[in-house]
Amino acid sequence: MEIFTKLGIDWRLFLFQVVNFSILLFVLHRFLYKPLLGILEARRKKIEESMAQADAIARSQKEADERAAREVKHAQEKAKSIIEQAIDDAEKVKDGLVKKANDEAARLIERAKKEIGAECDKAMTEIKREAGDIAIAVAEKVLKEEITKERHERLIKETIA
Amino acid sequence: MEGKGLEIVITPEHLFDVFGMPVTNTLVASLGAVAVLVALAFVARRKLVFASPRGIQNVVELVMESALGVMEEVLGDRKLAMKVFPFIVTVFLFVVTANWMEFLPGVGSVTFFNGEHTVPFLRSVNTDLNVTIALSVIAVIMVQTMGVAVIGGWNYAKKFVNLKSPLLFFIGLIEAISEAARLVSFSFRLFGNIFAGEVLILVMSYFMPLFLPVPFMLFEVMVGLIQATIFAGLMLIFVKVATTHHEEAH
Repeated sequence: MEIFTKLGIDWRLFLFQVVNFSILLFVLHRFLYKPLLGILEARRKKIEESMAQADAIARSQKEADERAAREVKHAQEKAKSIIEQAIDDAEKVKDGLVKKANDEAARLIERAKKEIGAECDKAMTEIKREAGDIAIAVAEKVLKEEITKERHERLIKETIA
Repeated sequence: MEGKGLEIVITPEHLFDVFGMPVTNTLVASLGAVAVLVALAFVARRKLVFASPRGIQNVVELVMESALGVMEEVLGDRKLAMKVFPFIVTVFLFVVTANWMEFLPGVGSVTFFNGEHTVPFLRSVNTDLNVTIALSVIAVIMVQTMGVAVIGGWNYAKKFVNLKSPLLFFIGLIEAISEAARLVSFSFRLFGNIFAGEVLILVMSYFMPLFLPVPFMLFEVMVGLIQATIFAGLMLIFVKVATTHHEEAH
């Protein structure tokens, strides 16, 4: 064991160096490596998460855009169909009104014609009666005594009828 | 240094005793290295932020993350990499800090009278075999533990004791010897390099104290970094070897 002494090897000094290094190892591990590697790891995770989040946001943005476009298209189609429906309805209403007005007009014309006819008939009868009377008066004047009134009337009637 | 010649001592110089514990100049220096790193760790801890790091944190994060990346790549397993990370990085930081402290003014030049001799108060930490052997023992135990933890005690033991054939038995024996040899190579490589550097600079200073040592000091700064890298790198590779199934390796 003389060689150990000559090389300066002493178990107490050796042990001291082991302890010394162990303390250094502990302190560096506790106060440098662990926090530092923790930070690196956490940062790596955070970056990964952020990337995933960004992807998700972009995806949902795209989805929302697509949905909005779909909605707009749908709404446009619906508006178009509503307008068409309205035009259709209006057309129908217009047709109905025109027909009604025509009917009314026709009815009014018909009634007016009837009334005119009736007036005409009435006027005719009146004229006939007046004409008879006038004829009687004229005949009376002409035939004074010859023919009695009754006979004369009968005669006129025969003539007219 | 009363003598005229160079005084090169392979052992750390004894300064004084504390409760029967001999205190050497390398021990004081190693406490200094630990204190520096602990202080830095506390300062760094307080400045760590989650979002938008600035300045030094970026550098620290870059270094730590690439170190972890290398470990993950070599071991092929993030969880295992996270487990060995503290050991390997701490060994690296400790060795490189200790090696570079050698060039601080005062290390080696401030002296202390220990009752018999006048000796330097501080001495480069890794020129003490107690330190390098302690690091090696911790490294080897860590490697063995990881081996047992990952491939299981039975599988791990089979690497060293294999009775299936004489050839495999001998391979196991060689494995066991090489495992023990690691302890020696780990500790003496670091010790030898740093001690040689010290001696080199001492010799150069002896020739010409003013300018000549400068390029050698620069070189030794490199050596200090390289030795720390080698120590940490070998730890990583040994973990890889220890956690690999032998059957598959053939």
